[in-house]
Amino acid sequence: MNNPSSHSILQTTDLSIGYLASPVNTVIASDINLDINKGELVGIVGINGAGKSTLLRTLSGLQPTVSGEVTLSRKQIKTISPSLLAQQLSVVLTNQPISKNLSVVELVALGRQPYTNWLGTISDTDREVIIEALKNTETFTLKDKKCYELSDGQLQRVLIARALAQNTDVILLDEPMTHLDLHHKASLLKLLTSIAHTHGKTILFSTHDIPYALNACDKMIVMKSGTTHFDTPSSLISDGVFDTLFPADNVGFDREKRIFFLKLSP
Amino acid sequence: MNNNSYIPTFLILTLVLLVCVLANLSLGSVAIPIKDVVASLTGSEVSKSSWEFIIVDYRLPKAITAIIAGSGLAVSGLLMQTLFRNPLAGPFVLGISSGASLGVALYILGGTALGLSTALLSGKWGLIIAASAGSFLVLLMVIGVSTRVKDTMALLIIGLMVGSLTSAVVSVLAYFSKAEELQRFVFWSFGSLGDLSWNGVGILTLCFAAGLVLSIASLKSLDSFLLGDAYAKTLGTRFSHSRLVIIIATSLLAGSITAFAGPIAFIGLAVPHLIRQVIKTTRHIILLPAVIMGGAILMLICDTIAQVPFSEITLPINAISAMVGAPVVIWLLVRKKKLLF
Repeated sequence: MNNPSSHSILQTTDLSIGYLASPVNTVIASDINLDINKGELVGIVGINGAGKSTLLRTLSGLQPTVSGEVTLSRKQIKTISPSLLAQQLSVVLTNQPISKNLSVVELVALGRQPYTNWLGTISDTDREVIIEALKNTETFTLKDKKCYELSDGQLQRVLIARALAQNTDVILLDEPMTHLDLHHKASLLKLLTSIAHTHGKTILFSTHDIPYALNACDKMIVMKSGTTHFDTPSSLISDGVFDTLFPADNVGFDREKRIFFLKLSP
Repeated sequence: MNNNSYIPTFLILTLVLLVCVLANLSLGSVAIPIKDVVASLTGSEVSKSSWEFIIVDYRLPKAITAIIAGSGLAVSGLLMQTLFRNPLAGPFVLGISSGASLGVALYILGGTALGLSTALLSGKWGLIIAASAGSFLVLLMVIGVSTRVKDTMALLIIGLMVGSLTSAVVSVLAYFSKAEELQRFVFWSFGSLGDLSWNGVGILTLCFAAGLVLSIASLKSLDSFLLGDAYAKTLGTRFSHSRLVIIIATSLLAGSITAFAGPIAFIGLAVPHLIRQVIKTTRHIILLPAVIMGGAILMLICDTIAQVPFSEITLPINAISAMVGAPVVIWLLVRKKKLLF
């Protein structure tokens, strides 16, 4: 972990995440050692409260680390100024109190803020990037709608378009697939895969849809009871990480079919 | 995304503003014909010399005060609605007007209630200093709290609580004070645009300009605040710093206006919503100038009504602005079902 390859972009060393408070810090997960390469699609899974959102917030610099380090392109994240960090890392968060009065194109245009002048003037280059982001997420036809007119799935895609417009090497998404039906889950996963593999962006997303993540992701981060596993999906399966992810009396895991099943009959 | 599409709207706003200024100068206890209003403004021959005196020494400073008060309150309303992401936020949510009330209450009522002598400061300036000191102290408290409180909503609630606390103190002071002192305090709380000399207008203009410069400097971060605290931070906004600048801008605007003209209700809350009906964008670079003009227009209309044309009566401006502002907010809620910020 301490000898990153040239493809490495986001790393953590002995990271502990949680909440800083006196007299005692609340630690949610510790000893997190990640080494994520450029162009990788990485899923973060774990039961409720395992620390998926906390990990994403810590990696994005929104929340301080309890101990350990996060490095982005070999620089410690806490030493990068907010305006420079905004050009390297973007986030897609759910349930944020965004103004529903924003139009789609205004919302996506806000993704250009790290590059615009002090008045936020949109240049021709900015306009091209915005249009491309709208087209890549199939939201171009919605561009003049207000956010209160959108469905959950449409808003989710628009928020992803905003992150694309920010044009960063790393994109972090917190539960982007919630509220989406199967069709939109599939198209979102396809979109994330293509952004990662064709455009070379590094994408981390948290999800409860583990079977879909197993099929789509290059690597996965599994968080359970304070420990974190990071590997390719097939290695994680053969190591038996998923067998004990949920309490064994309720949920089992089929290694062959890569699916979970419920143990309902007594 | 095209800025040019707003030019017609701004032309209409300018025209309406011009008409309102002329009507405001022309109407009052004495109706002065528009051509004489224009003549006294341009320094030409006026039909009656008393008219020139009324315009230059009374109605013009009053009209300028109305423009500044309306624009300033409307701008601080816009800033607060965006900062707190709450359509019901106005310039007074941080407790600025309650701070000013407390200052004035201590100054006017405190003499009897606390057994202090306030003879040191007398007249109009004593009132202004008391109001400024009151709102400044509350403001310092809010800024102190805002550096410690991470949650913007908590700040809103603290502002409201400070408001309740100070009005409780004012009630206690009022209970122990003499009738004529109470009357003076009530008159201050009615608000007044007409008592300002050219000196006063100068100071008010300076505070207004400073508040406006800070607002313009905050335009970009205001846009990012529309996405919520977390998104604003990941867009590179220096969050605590920008929030502080916005709070100081609001306090400068609302604080100085309240000190000079008394607490004026509803303009700050209603104008941004009215402007959003005409201008369908959330970008503050468009909204800010529009809100400045809208605030000036509404305040001039309120003042023209308050001075009751062709009569000797002048109604309290605070009552008129509430009578105009409150129905507007109710109408918007009934028509649109919800208020957006």
